[in-house]
Amino acid sequence: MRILDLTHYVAGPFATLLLAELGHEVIKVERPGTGDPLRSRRAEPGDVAFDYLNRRKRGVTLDLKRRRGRALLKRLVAESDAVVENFRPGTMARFGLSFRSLRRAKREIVLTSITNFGQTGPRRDWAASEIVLQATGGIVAASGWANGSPIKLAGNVAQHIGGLNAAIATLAAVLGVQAGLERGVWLDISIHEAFAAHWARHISRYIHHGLEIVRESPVAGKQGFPHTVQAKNGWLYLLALRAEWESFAHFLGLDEFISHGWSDHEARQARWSELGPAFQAAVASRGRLEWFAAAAERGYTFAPVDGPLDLLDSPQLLARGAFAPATLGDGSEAPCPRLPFTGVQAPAAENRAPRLGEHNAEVFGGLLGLSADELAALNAEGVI
Amino acid sequence: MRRWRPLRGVRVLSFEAAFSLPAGTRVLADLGAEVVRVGWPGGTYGTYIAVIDGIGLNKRTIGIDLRTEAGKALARRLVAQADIVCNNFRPPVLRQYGLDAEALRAIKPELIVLQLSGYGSPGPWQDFPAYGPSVEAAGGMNAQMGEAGDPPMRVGSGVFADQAAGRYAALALLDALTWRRASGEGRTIDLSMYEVIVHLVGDTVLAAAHTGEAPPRRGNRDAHHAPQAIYRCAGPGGPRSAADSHGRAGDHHQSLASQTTPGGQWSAAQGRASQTTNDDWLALSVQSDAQWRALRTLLGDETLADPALDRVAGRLAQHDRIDAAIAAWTAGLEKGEAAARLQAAGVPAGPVQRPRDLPLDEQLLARGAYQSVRRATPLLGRHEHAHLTLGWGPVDAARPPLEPERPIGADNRRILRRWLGLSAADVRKLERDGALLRVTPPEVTVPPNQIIGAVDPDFARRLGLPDEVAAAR
Repeated sequence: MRILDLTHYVAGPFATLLLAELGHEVIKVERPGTGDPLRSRRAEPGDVAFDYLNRRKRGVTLDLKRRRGRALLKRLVAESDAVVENFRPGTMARFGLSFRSLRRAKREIVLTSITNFGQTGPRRDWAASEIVLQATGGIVAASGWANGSPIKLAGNVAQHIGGLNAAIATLAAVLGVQAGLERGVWLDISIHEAFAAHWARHISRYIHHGLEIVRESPVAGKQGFPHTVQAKNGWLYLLALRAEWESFAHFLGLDEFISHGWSDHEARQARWSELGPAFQAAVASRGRLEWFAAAAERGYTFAPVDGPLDLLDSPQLLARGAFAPATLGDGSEAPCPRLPFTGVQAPAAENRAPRLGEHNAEVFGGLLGLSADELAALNAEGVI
Repeated sequence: MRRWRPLRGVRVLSFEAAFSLPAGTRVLADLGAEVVRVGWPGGTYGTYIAVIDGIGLNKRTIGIDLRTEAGKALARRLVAQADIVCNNFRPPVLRQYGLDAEALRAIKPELIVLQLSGYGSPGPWQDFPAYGPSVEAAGGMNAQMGEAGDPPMRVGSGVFADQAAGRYAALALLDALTWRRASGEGRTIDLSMYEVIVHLVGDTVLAAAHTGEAPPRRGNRDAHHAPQAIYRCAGPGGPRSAADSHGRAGDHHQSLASQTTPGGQWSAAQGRASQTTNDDWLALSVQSDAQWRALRTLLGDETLADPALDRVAGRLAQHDRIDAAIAAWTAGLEKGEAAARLQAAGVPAGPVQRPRDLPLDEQLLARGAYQSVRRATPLLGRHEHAHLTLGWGPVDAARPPLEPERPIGADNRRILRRWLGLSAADVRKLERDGALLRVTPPEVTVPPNQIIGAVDPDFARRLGLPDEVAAAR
């Protein structure tokens, strides 16, 4: 598959990153001179967002505000299976690149449009950012502690999930076209709506019987003990959904709390000041990976609470080859997470983001057959 | 409007339990694939949580007793007719039934096989049990949530990783179909929920690998933009009272257990507890200096007209002071009103939507995100419930209609006729041999261990649903 990538910032580039990681050819089209606004952040130490999101893509420049630029874009469309874009609603039409006009370039084209709230509806034109998308889509309301404010989820997960759904939609649409079931389609991906769908269980609970998930007490949650406790060398997540308190307490080495009166989770919550110090001391007596393995033997779903640095040493990730070296903007190399599943056709493209316009000659010359003179003229005019 | 079914004709045979893989095959079903779920007695299919999650919607089911030789043989014949076979069972169980990836690909080399587990197989943690929240913790999510001084937080869902893993499974399967169309080759896919979370926060992992430092935890703040936070708003009853302002979010809620009779029926007397609840908040994020000027004008707070705050560096340095001014403004407004005023001024902001808000969310409703499911037998007192669809589709097509989940074995005859050409007599013989199963679904009730939150006794009125009397009639 060949994907023409008109995306910038986060959600769109994540969608085309997934397709590029799957081995498909992605041509990223950027504005001449400045490119994707995320590029400018590369100057800040440690900001690798652009590098992460644009690996394995080819990079070309094209000024879509010029007639000549649009004409070249349509020639690229004619050679592509899908176009992915994440401009604000109406922008593509203003560029003269509406779905109808793209279909004139290629009858079977798939156009995937990613926006914050969708192409339709009363909030179509709302401004958004990651925290606004997470909050309006759900999950945030129930994240954090009961005695504090709702807390945003890590990183850019709402935009990533929007991009993930866009990649799924794009693949499905191209399959439908290839199977002869349809001839071209314009997909409307709302990050907000896609993210809300990931909270379906809790929305559904309210619809079915009015039950709302709420934020938990940090002291002693619904198990009658906190879910996150310090182990010897870091935080441990303790989940033992179907455990009997007696065997669980014995497992933790809390035999003195096995007696009657402690088996009920509400009693443990109420008397946490008595139980808490012994509970915390017990957990702190062993390392988090040691607990994790011991708990797994018993069928308890504990987990190490690992941060990004810990993940780089995860025995499971290392054994599975879950990292591939990526080259960053400053030329250095660092391990980067691969797709979370095996069986993928190894991508031929390099594991790095393209330089601005790096593949102009290859794409406009090789794919579209422009001569060196024509390329030089386009360059001089600022079209590419 | 037309229906969009790009996967029409694709056959999926799924040995699935819990939520992760079923969420993935539900995507394929909504896209028009024929998804056949293999059921067995004692599974989670048709239970309260499966119905709530909607994981059986748009799917067919066949009941096969894999403990019998005839059942195993029948499963192998169905595998030969499938495009995709997937499972989220533990590896030893699959080998026992002859359904591990090697055995399946031996039946049909061009088959696409996907197995999904908590940590992935093979690997040193391959047999470790997992739930969504445990792989979220292990995969780097919790450690990056909350303020620097807090213990790590967790995602307010319980199935965030399951949903995400289901979507990645759908991605992997669609890509495998694309590859098979081009090459004729099948594929074996092993998906790790743990790695799904790592991938979703992969940019932070790459950053840590590059700098050698763990990223700082920032709560609701951002490294590049300010102000950004979540601010408390007035509840629907107007500005909050002093007593409410320092209350904990859950204080006014009562548990489901204390409000319901054993049959799960509601009574009017239960309706008062949650009405004073104020847990309404607004998320706000200023992304540029121009947006900051707009916010300052809207708030009308002269103390913010400080040139030191004109640039983001100054605002990051004095974030607490700005937060106090914004919080004073939001405290007097309902979250929807505050968001509308900020948006009108061009400032990115939105209400923190609770489960009670999203079924009435004007954007979701306008876009047809909810489709109604009609069930023949009433569920928790009603025949009809709204469920979310995929959350996207073509601009000019309706969201997919949702067919209710089917009891295990309800499609035995249909599937065996369509896939294997078996007659009704053949099917009866298989039933006599014990290879085929039909399971009468148990009545769906809310199990006590699912009571993890607060009940709004007023929900039916708020959602405009008919009352129990009307539903029962």
